[in-house]
Amino acid sequence: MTQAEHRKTPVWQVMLFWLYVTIPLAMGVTQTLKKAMALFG
Amino acid sequence: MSGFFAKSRIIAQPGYSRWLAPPAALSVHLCIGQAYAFSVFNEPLTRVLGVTAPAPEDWKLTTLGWIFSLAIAFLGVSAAFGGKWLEKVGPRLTMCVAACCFGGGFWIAALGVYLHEIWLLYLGYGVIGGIGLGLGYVSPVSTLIKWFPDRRGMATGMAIMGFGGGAMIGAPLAVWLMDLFKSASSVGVMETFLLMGGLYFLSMMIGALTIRIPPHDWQPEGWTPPKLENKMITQNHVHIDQALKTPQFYVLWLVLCLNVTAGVGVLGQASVMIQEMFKGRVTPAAAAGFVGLLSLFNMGGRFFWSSASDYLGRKTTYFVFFVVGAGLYALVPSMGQMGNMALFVLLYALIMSMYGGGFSTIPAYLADIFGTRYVGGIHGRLLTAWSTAGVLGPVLVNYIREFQIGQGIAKAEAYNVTMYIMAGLLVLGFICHALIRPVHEKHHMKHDEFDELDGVFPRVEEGEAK
Repeated sequence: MTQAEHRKTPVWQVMLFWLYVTIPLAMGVTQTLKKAMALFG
Repeated sequence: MSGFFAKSRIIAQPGYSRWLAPPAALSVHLCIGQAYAFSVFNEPLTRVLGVTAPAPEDWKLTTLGWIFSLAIAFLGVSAAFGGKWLEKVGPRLTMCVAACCFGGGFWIAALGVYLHEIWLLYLGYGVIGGIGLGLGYVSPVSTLIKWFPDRRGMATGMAIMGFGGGAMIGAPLAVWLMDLFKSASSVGVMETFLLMGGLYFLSMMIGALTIRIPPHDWQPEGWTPPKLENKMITQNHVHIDQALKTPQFYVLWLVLCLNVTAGVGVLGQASVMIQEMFKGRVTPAAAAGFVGLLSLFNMGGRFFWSSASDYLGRKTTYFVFFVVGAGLYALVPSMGQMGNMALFVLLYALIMSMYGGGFSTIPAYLADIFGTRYVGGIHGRLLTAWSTAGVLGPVLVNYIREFQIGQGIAKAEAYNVTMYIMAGLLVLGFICHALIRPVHEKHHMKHDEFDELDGVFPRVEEGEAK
């Protein structure tokens, strides 16, 4: 089987996986930034 | 090894997107990064029996402090010893074991809280969880380097950034869960441990089941390895055991150790330092915000500096850490004396970004020096420098500070000498780093069959791929 005949990973699958890890990280970063705001009054 | 966990079962099929590998690595690193947030459990754990206030039989903070110390110590030990095993069995099995250890460690710790037996917390989160941390930390590194030969630094930076960011997820999650589960008879820690252990186990298993290794001699489409213009990037491979016989390994060990000692030393006292240097201007809440900001820069620096090292070169990047870093450390006391808090925060943040960058750039540096084949295992062994620095940094900083105060120096000024000594450590690191040369060819593996000769790392044929 040639490379072209193999199914390429769909872009939505890659994006979904990235969202799965970045959403909780973004939530954590937002929480930390909120705390950091206390430093600047 | 055959069956589900065999290396041959996780060789990517043609068409597999290499961009699936970083989130698989992040699924693990974002979980184990929770270790940096373990301190959120300390205060509630001091009142497991008393619930509203500590009872006489409750654990003391000094007793609880050993849980984190044990976890970091076992991280270093398991990374050092597990690295070779990782190269043999591949990332899937290593990540699975890491998931079982880290998740299981939480559950054993939960049992320890339920029975109020501290040794179960030491064993659970400290020893078993620590082994999970070490195996989880090193498991995706060599896989990512092999998927991204064109951007080694960026690839490892993404995963190691996750370790820095894990605490930002773990801390608020733990606080929220403890609030949810607390009652008149419970502080909610046991339930939180159980649930977090389960969540982390699942997330790490997702990473373990989705990670794939590239086929032998795979290269990104349209990319050809650069011609040997840079002597600091080898096209050869050094065996994991042979690496220990090279001076480069020990110099890099010192380089990492000195960079981390300086960073970890000042990170531990950041909160107290800003409050004492800017007395009356910084509240405890603002100081906590300052520490949070440093965590963000620590995390961002892991991605930024390792990605930048792909363009600057690893050697130049480390020179920046040591030269600019030493200058920044030396400037911090002046900012304190000038009362310029904004600049003080900025300098500290830059220092922390370089501290994180030191961690994330080192795997790519190792791949440049020793080749990509055993970089995971070599990286694991180098992480003992981290464990050493984790002990050395805080001890050094606290000792210097106590000595200064004992000499009658004002608390706010006691940090000045500390910062100058940390700058001195970086100068020492600069000298060590300047000594790094390419590995002598006598250490290079002579032929591809080397693996079969020692019988440890059997070659995986593409035809076996499932």
